[in-house]
Amino acid sequence: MPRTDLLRVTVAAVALFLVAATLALRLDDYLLYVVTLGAIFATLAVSFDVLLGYTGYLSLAHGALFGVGAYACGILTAHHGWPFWAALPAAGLVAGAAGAVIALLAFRTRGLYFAVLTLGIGLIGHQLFLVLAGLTGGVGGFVGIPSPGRPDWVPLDQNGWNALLALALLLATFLAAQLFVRSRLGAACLAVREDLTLAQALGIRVGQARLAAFVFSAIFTGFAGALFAAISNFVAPESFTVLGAGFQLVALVVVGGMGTLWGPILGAALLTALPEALRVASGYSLMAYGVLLLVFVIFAPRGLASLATAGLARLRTGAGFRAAPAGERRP
Amino acid sequence: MIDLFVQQLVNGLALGSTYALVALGLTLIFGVLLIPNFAHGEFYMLGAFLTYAMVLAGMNFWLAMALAVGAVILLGCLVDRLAFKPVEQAPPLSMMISALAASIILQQSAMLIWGGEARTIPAPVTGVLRTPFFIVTWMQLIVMASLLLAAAGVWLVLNRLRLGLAIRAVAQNRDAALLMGISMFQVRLATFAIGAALGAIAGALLGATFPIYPTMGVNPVLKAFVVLVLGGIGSLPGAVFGGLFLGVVEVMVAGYISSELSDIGAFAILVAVLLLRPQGFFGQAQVER
Amino acid sequence: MKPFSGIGAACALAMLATPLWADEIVVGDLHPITGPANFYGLPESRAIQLAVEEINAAGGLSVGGESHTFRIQTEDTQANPTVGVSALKKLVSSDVRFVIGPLSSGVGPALFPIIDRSDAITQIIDGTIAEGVTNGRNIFRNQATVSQYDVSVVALFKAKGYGSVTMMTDRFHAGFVGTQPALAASLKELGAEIAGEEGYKLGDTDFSATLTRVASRNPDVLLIRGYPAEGALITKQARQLGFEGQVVWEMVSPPSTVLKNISAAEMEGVYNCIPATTEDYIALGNEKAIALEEAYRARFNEPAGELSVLSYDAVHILKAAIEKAGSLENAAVNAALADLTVEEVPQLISDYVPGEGGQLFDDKGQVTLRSAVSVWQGEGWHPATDVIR
Repeated sequence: MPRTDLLRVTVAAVALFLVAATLALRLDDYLLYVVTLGAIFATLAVSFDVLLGYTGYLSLAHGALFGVGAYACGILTAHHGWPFWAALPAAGLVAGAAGAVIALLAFRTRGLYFAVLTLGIGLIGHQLFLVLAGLTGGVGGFVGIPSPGRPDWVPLDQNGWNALLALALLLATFLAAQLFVRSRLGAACLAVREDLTLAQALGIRVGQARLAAFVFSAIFTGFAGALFAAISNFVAPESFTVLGAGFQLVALVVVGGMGTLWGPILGAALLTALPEALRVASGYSLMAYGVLLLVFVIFAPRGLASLATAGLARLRTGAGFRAAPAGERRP
Repeated sequence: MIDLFVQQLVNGLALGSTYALVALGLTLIFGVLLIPNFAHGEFYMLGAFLTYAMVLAGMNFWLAMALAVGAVILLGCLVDRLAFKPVEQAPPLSMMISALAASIILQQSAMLIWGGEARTIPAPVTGVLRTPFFIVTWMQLIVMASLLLAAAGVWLVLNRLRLGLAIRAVAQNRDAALLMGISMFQVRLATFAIGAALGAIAGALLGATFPIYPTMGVNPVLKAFVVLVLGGIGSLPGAVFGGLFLGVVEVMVAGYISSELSDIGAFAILVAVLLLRPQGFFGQAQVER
Repeated sequence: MKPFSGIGAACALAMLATPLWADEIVVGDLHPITGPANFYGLPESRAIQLAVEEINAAGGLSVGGESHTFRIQTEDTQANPTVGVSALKKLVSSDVRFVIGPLSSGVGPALFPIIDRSDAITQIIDGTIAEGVTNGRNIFRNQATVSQYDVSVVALFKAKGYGSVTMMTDRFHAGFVGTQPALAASLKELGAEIAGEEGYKLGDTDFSATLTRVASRNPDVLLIRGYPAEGALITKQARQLGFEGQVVWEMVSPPSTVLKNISAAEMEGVYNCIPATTEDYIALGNEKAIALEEAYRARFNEPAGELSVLSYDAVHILKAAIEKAGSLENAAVNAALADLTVEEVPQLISDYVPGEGGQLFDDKGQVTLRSAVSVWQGEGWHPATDVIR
């Protein structure tokens, strides 16, 4: 049963990816860039949901981990001449290793203490990007990161290729996350979220499960950072602040729907598109963003995913109502 | 000759009392209602701006501050009604997002009214106190005194008033308190009012020392969360002690190591403290929130 | 069905409208309209608006015998690199080929790689002072660089012969941080001991730890590099903690802003080392600056911003270059900009030092603004005649 379920999810995800890619490549450069950014943030949101939605631990250090991936990619490609395709997995591993260290420290605490401890780590990370100017370029930023290499046979320009890569990374992250949450570790994570003490009493390896979730999310956050750096050709510490990036991730996941994996994609799409749409409001755009964010949280407190599920369920019961008599005749 | 170490210690206590003053209101609202009120930074900001506007119109500073505190109390209750009450039944993190949204809205309102330019409220008291060992401004002394007064005031309300008893009961066990017939409405209103008032007082006093601008509340509220956790969630002495501790650590790192590392130093100490004592200085044995 | 007919109608409308817009040249206005930096960005954007309205009212531009007008498309950067990049992409996708901006040192370098490799964008930077964001090919800047600010600092030290200095730099300001080593080296060469290099960040409120140390060493000069709100606070706290030496600022700091944060008495005698800004030109009796200020007040009901003159100049530079090129092609306009002399743009307000052939821009696309040292006397800055004539 889980296997056919996973198969169905995979087929649906791949189909959606193909549709999204086909549609996106028809857009102009600006909208294509918005899609690219949206896909990168969706990647971040999905990997963050594996931690937040499946273990219940709120990490505010992920903005810094995003930066670790980005700077790792920048340093390896620009300073050491690595090709992007070698730097991408390396950046994921570096972020994963940093994530493991953070996790080992932070999992001594829980609840708000965990959130604030990781907040502190996130702030330290951001400060380190500024202070370690020799490696990161400091406040002036990291200049001259090469774009992801594009094979000659691809009939796309660099912008189209960037968008395709971002969507592909999102697909890969989503499928990997689906596999993870269906694994024994994923089940253990859910047990941690629901009742830590009970899970421990039942002999579930709590430490191992939540460590795995943290490292998993850190690795994919690192991938997203690497791609972000290569696409932007330039990164600065401003992109990896606790407020700008750390809290933004929480917003993406909560607005989308925690613990669903697909909800955060909706959340990222919405919260990336919204500020662009609000450009028309000019001086009032931030105000409008705040008001709309509040409205979304009030009317969909469990996220867009719950709204969508409720909508589907209503459609289905409507359909089921008509089909019911036929079903009743069966013994 | 002024002793450098004593002077740095005084600097640290002065800075720390500003952190603690902001943290008091935050810790109260979080401790009682479990609301991570990021908009507390905006209560602080509006306290400063309203005081500024009235002082500029020719009003006496202390009167302006009192009126500003009143206005921010009303606003605090309004924010609770519009932003927090509607998501009460939702997962706790929704509360955090609605708090973030509320702070964006309040910041932008201030931006539209006053613009983004930094300014300072004309201080009601100027000058410095020079002792043989250290120098401190009168305004800094006022901030330190206000911290003690505010902490004592909140303690009195919580421990000597009937309402305070109700607030403490809710903080300890909400369901049991409701079963005992405590009016959640009153407790909630009172907690928000006191919390907002503390934020506004901090804003008015610190706005006479520091520049004020619409996003001035963002960093203090982050620091206040750090203080909250350092001191132990929901503990008033913890908030005071945690704030002073953070201030002294920051000043000592900046004074004796490097001003570039003062933030890193402060947060590294936070991490170290939480690793050694995961429930903070004054926290009870940890309860999953 | 409905959405499609809607799109169809929009297309038809666009096709109808295109001929009407054919003689319009769209200028992309790329500044922070919202967010914490909009206090600087909005007055720049508005000055562009005023310059464009003035030019259009006077008959627009004449390009190869045909008359054209300017139209502005404003996009908000929020002073954030990512938002800035999407703003630029939006402009480029709506076929805007001339861009003025951005303001912030964070956004400039993020836009640079995109514009540098494009042959369909011409950019004039009127805001950021960070180094390395012009190329002299299609990216020009009519704002000073930090190293030009530093020239004034060095001039002051040369004139006064100060023996020691502590620098306090806003370490979130890429421009100031970038030139700090070079400036320190130049001052050392003049014989000034560097007593300390300290950092703070925008929004910091307490500098007592650093200043206690500064006061105990008591260097001749405390040099503050950043923004005026922190500058005022540092000056105040330094005096309170017993610092008795000379305070020198290196920052854009109109008196109106300064006085919102510190009393005039506490500012008395402070030096400031940067080229003149809007309020300085008005104080100096520059008629074009006064006219801009009046137009700005009449329109927006508040005084112009300190960088407004640069944005105003940028529009006139663009106009002069397009007319000189006699073409709307980017390559021709770029070449005209590289060749443009100061004399060819009589509307310029700021005091640009011409290059050897009278050129406005050097081969890197950078102008030289006349360096200046001013001293605070009474209620505002005045030219420090004892330092630079």
